[in-house]
Formats: sequence, structure tokens, C-alpha cells
Amino acid sequence: MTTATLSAGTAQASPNFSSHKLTFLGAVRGEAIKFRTLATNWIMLAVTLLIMVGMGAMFAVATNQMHESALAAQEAVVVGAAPVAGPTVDDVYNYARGIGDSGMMFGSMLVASIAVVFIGSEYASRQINTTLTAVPRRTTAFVSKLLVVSLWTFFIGFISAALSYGIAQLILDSAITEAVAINGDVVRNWVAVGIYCMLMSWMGLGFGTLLRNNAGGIVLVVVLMFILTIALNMVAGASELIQDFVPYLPMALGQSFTAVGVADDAAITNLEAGLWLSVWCLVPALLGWARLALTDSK
Amino acid sequence: MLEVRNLTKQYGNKAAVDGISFTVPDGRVTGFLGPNGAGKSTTMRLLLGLEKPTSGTALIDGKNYRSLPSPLTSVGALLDAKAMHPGRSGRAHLRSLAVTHGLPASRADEVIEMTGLGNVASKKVRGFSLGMGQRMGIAAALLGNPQNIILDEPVNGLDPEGVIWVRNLARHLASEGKCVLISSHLMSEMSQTADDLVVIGRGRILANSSMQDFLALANNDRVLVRTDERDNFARRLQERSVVFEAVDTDGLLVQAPTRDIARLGVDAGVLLHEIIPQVATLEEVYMNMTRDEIEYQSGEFAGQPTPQIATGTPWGATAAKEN
Amino acid sequence: MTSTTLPTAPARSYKLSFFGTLRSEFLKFRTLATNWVMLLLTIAIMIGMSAAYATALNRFYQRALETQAALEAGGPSPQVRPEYSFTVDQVLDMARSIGGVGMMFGSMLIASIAVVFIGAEYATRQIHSTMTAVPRRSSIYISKLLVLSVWSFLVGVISAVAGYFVAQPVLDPGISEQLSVGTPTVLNWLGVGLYCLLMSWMGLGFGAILRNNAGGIVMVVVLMFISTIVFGLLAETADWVADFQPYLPINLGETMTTVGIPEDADINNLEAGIWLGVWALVPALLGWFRFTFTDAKG
Repeated sequence: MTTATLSAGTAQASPNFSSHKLTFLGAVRGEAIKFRTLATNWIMLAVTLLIMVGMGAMFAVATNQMHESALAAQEAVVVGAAPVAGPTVDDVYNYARGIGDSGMMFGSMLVASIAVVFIGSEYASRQINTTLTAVPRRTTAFVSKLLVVSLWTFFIGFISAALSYGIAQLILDSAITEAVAINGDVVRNWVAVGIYCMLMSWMGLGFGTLLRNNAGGIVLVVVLMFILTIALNMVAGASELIQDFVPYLPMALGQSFTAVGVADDAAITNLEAGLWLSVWCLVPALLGWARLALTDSK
Repeated sequence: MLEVRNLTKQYGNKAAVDGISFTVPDGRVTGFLGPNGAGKSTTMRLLLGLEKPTSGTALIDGKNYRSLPSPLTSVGALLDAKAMHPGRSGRAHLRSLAVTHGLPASRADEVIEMTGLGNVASKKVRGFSLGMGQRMGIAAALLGNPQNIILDEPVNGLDPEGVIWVRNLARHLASEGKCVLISSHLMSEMSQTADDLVVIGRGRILANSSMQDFLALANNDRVLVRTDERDNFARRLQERSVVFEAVDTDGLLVQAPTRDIARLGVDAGVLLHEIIPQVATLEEVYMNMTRDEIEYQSGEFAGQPTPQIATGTPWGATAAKEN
Repeated sequence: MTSTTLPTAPARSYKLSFFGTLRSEFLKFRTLATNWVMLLLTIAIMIGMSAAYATALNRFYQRALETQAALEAGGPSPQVRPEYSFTVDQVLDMARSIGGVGMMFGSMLIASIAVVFIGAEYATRQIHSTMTAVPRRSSIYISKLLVLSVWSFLVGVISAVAGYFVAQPVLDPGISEQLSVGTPTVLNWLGVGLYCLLMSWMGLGFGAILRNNAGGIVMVVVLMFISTIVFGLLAETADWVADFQPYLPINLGETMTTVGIPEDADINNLEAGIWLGVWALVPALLGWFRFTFTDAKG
């Protein structure tokens, strides 16, 4: 190993930085540098985009088929046959408007993992000691991290959704694309995907900080998102209470949140779903903050 | 200036640090010594607010670390050589620290040049050796040109040149009026670097004095004498009631002034081919003091005697890093 | 400075053996407190799920009796949502396999433990010590695989048995009196153990391929949960997608442990187990390749 000579830094006139104060903005910029200088984060960005856009394209194919069945059913009704269960043409149009969220479950899992790892690997590598030495105010450190992952994940979600929509236009039947134009609903869907990804990053950062461990944080996210959903659906038959609760599970809320065509007087509107979902995500984030702020960083 | 007052930190029932008090003044290099597990790193972590004390205070220029308006320019710390994310480049790591205080990006490059990391700073930390990790840690500590510098085992893993550089750096910083606290297990290195010493064992302060006063604790009145006629000379010493003990095959440790010993040799017609006054090294004084305070005692290799007169630890000898 | 005396090692001939490697991996496994905590957690969760599911089964049973009575009386069957409507025989079969209802939950924890068993060695560079002590890569890998297999099989079986017996007092006497521990139930227990074992292969495999806790766990989640959701979304696109769905690992796991599948079903218990074995073996083999043939740089 060749090492450069330690220069006589001691001979230099040492600059005086005492007027430079630790600021919240500085802490955020520090976290932003830390985030963007990890190659993994860029790879995950590319993977997330690719998967979400790919799923949008695949779902476009599925939408075409549903469209045909819906048309067939419509004609059958006109002829006077019994109505067939399945999405109506209007439903299909709404699916097409909301096609940007096709890969959301996939993407958001990756996003949550990125958030877990953003803090978990600081504990694993003891970087956290350096971080908290530079920014000893725990709340500043945590909120900076939260802001950086929030922005990042919102944009991943939003851009992926918009791109998925764009790619899907090339695949969707012209009958659908002619009927469906970019309107408020479509853009709201993209924004909702962004917010969903952002909320998932809160959950991830929260659990990562709470457990100070990559594996544990990701498993907790999986438990809350997937396993809880599976488990409660299994026992839903047992009681009305559980059946009523199932739509309020985070994954179901995510779907209601981004879906296009949910009536304003529905049991759970888009907005309500978003609010409940943020409660699910705010709780882990607050727990993580409490652990960081109130306990030693060992 | 660093001030530690009645500082106690308990982990469960065990006190890692037990009511210690000391002050590290500006303009001097203070050595922080103690066996593994004595509480050095815990004290440093408490100073930096990484842990909360069970009782007592650890203050930086009279303030709690967490309430400092400008932590990086008040204290620069190297606690753990590779406390860095392995996937980031050295330069990015330093820049991420610099921007928190609005320091210019060029400052990161300056400390990289100062610590001789220019060739590797754009590589990922993952591939850094222990020595390069130490240099990165020192670079981070120097980033804000802080008034107080805390270095935990800074020379661990450094090459000889790096060791000398750290020594000069510490002396230089002190000469600028800064407060420097260094822990190390390399006694010879410490004896050349530190002005004052704080010795800690099992969470308590064993000594807190200037280097000179500390060395004066040892008895420096012994002289090593070597001669081919040891028995003969020993008898002469006995006749004059001089205290001595035999060492090696041809040596005697004699408690008498060198001149008197030489005179006795001439009078007795015994050729003395070595007459060396024994000045206690920092290591010897330290070993005497901490003998009973060591928590993790080493085993002895069967059949291999302990060296009787310890010489200075050679450069590059590995000092066990505290956990 | 020195007190005790280190004895010099007697000059007997000690040789590295596979059995020694195995014992060492076992020692490493059982001396990590996390593994015991996870064991308790897994068993507790699986038992809890069985008990909760027993209450659901009681409901299904009542409805099945009502439906049966109504049909015998020649009247219309009561309105029940189709996904919660079962015959009495189906309910009994479900009760026979009640030990395994928490399997999805438990196996996710087990897969995580398996990922971490190797991933953490890379994270801490323990892997260097391991490989220095045992330079034969395959020996290490197979030892790890064996230790995990035995442990996860036992966790699965114990949880299933415990779940079954805890569920008995909760179950309606009408159900529990008709149950006895027969071959189907024992096969279900073994199936759960086997499922957990295979999940540990998947976990170890992905952990060894990616050399990273977070990455390994995310891969398991993708294969188990996300692929299932995605295929569910796209099932209407093409017949082959619909045909492939039952061969997804989570569905195969369900099929393998279900009681009451006829021998001549599309996928019987044994076939499901074999296909699932393939799903688990592929990551395990890829992991072995990576472990054996590439440098141990973490």
C-alpha cells in the first residue's frame, strides 16, 4: 500500500471556523450528501423505477383484456342477458387512469427498505457516532434524515407513477386511451403514489431507528404491511369487528388512497385513507424518534 | 477546556465510570491512560453526549456538548477509526460532516491533504486499512479546526511516520492554545507527547498530574552494573550493606550513586563494564500503578519469563484497542 | 501484568473435520441471544394465530351447520359471503390443520434468521474468522444449512403441535370431539416443519448471494409476498399467468400443508412440497456457488 506523506498541516496557519454554527439546514444538507453518495441508493432508484414501470406496462395488458370483457358484458346486457360479474367499462377506465400505481406495492417495499437501511446501516457501521458528534441534537438529526428520505421517496413514487402511465399509454387499446385523458384524477393518482412511498419511508426510518438494525426493521415493515394483512384476512370470518378493521390495514388503505373513482361518500374516501395511512406511518416514526432522542446511541 | 465532575455511568450494576473528576486545560496535551475496560472510551463518549451520564457532568468549555451552538468547531473527536459508512467515499464522508456547519467543501480537501489521504479519498471507505481509517478519523476531528481535540487511540494502526505526525500535531495544537486529550496504550509515545496525565483504572482516577510529577513517583536511585566477577562484587556490596539484587547472569541492580559504585569497583579491582543509572519509564510507573486495576489480565506463555527491564515499546507495536 | 499461565497445547493431532465444522456452526447459532428470542417469538405468534383461527373456525362451523340444516329442510341457504362459506367436512379438515395457520408469519421470521445467520457474518467480517478456521467453503455452507434446517424444522413442528393443542379448548366441542390426532394432522405438522426448513434454505441462499441482511430479506419478501400480489393483479392478462399462480411459493406452501386434498388433485400435497423444494433449492444452490467460488470480500 502506498500512502502519501502526511503533509505538514501543522505548519499551515489554521483557519478559524468558530463563526460557523450548526444549523438545521446544514444538517439536512449533510444528510442529503450522505444519501446521494451511497451507490446503493441510486441502484435502488433505478430498480424501483424499472419495476414500477414494468408493472405498469403489464397491467396495461391486463386492462386491455378487462376492457374487452367489460365491452362484451355491456353488449350482453343490451341484448338482454343476465349481467356478468366483473368490472364495468367505467371501472376499466378508472383502472387506466390509476395505472400509475400498478407497481406501488413492490416499489414501496423497496423504498421502505432504503429508509430502514439509511439509518440501520449507520448503527451497523458505527457511522452513527460520527453523525451524532457532528449533529448532537437528536431531533435535528432525525428530522433531517426524515426530510431527505421523504423528498427522495416522494419523487421516486411520483416519477415512477407518471412514467408508468406514460408507458402504459403505448400499450393500452386506443379505445381506452381515447376515452381517458390526463386529468385531475390521473395526476392525483401520481401524487398519491408519491405520498404513499413517502409514508412508507417514514415507517422504514422509524422501525430502523427503533430497532437499530437493518434486518429487524425490514421484517417489522413486512409484518405490518403483508403478514398482518394475510393474517387478519384469514381470521376475518370470525368477527364483524375484524372484517370492519381489514380495510384500515396499511396495505388496503394504500390501495384506497391511490385508487381512482372512489366516490366522495364511500366508506373510506381517498383523503380518509391517506390520513389513516399516515397514522400507521407516523407511529413508527415517532417511536424511532423517541428511541434516538431519549436513549444512548450505543 | 474539558471538565469532568463526579461523572458516573452505570451499565446495569456495573459502573463503567465511577465518580471521576478531572480537568483538561487549554494549551496542554493531556494523556489519558488506563488498562482495557478502565472507562476511557466511556468517558470520551460521555463528553461527546453520545451517552447520558448516570450522574455528574462532562462539560466542554463549560457547556454540555449537545447544547453547543457549533459542536464541530468546539470539539474534534476521533473515537473509533472506522465509524464510517463503508459504502461512501472518504471525501463524501467528510463533506457530509462539513456542510452541517456550513464549512466550505474545500475544508474537506484541506484535511484530506493534511492527513495524507489525497490518493485514496475518492475510494470507498470499505477498502481502507486500519491506518487509513485512523487518518480519516483524524481528518474528521480536524475539520472544524476545533478548540478541543479528543483522540482515542489515534496512533493505533498508523505507520511510524504517522505516529510521529500525530505527535507533532498534538504538540502543535497545544502550542496554539488548544486543549488536547489523547488516550493511548503506547507508553513511550505518550511520554513524548503528553504534558499532563490522567490515569484511570476500573472507572476511578488513579493519578492526575503533570508528566514530571508522575515519573517522580518511581524510585530512580537504582543502577544497573554488569561485571564478569559478579559474586566477588556482590560480596563487596554486602560488606558495605548496599542494597542490591541480581539480574540476568552478570548483572546487579544496585541502590547507590554511580560514582560510589565505580569507586568500589576500582578499590576492589573488579572490572565493571556497564554502570547505567535506571530511570523509570512511564511504562514502569504506569504498570506499577495499574497492576491491581487491570480487569482483563493476560496469561503468561509457559516457560517464557517476563522481561525484567522493560524498554520502550517499539514503534508499530500493536496496542489492543478498547471496545 | 501476568497472573495465570497459558498452557502450551499438547502435541496431539487435531484435524479439521466436517463434524467439527458442524458443531462449530451449531455453537455459533445457539450462542446468539437473538436466535432464542426469535424462536420464542415464532412459537408465540404461531400459537396465537392458531387460537385466533379457532374462533374463526367456530363461526364457519356454525354457518356450515345452519346451511346444512337449511338445505335438508329444503329451504334456501342462508346468505354468507362466499369466501367464508364452507361445508362441515371442510371445516373439520381446516381444524385438522389448525397448527399451521401461523406458518406464513413464522416462516418469514425463520427466513430472516437464516439470512442474518450468514449476512451478519459478512457485515461483521466474522466470515474471515470462519473461513480461516475452516477453509473448505462447502463444509461451512453445508454445516450452516444443516444447522438451520434442523432448527427451523423443529421450530415449525413444535409450533404446529403447540398451536394444534392450544386451539383445542378454543374450538367448538362440536368440532373438537370429531378430531383425533391422525395421519392428516401429523402430516400437517411435518408439512409445517418442512415449509419452515425450506424457507430457511431460501433465506440462507439469498443471504449468501447478496452478502447483506437487508438485501437477502427483501429478496425473500419479493419471492414470497410481492410476486404473489403481482401475479394476483395480472392473473387476468393471460392464461399462463393464471396457470402459474398455484405454483408460486406461498401458494405451494398452503397446498402442501392443507388437509383434505385428494391424491388426484392438480397439485397434491407431495407435489406441492416438491415444487416448493425447487423454489428453495435454487437460491440455496446459487448461494453455495457464490460462497464457494468467489472471494470472501464482504
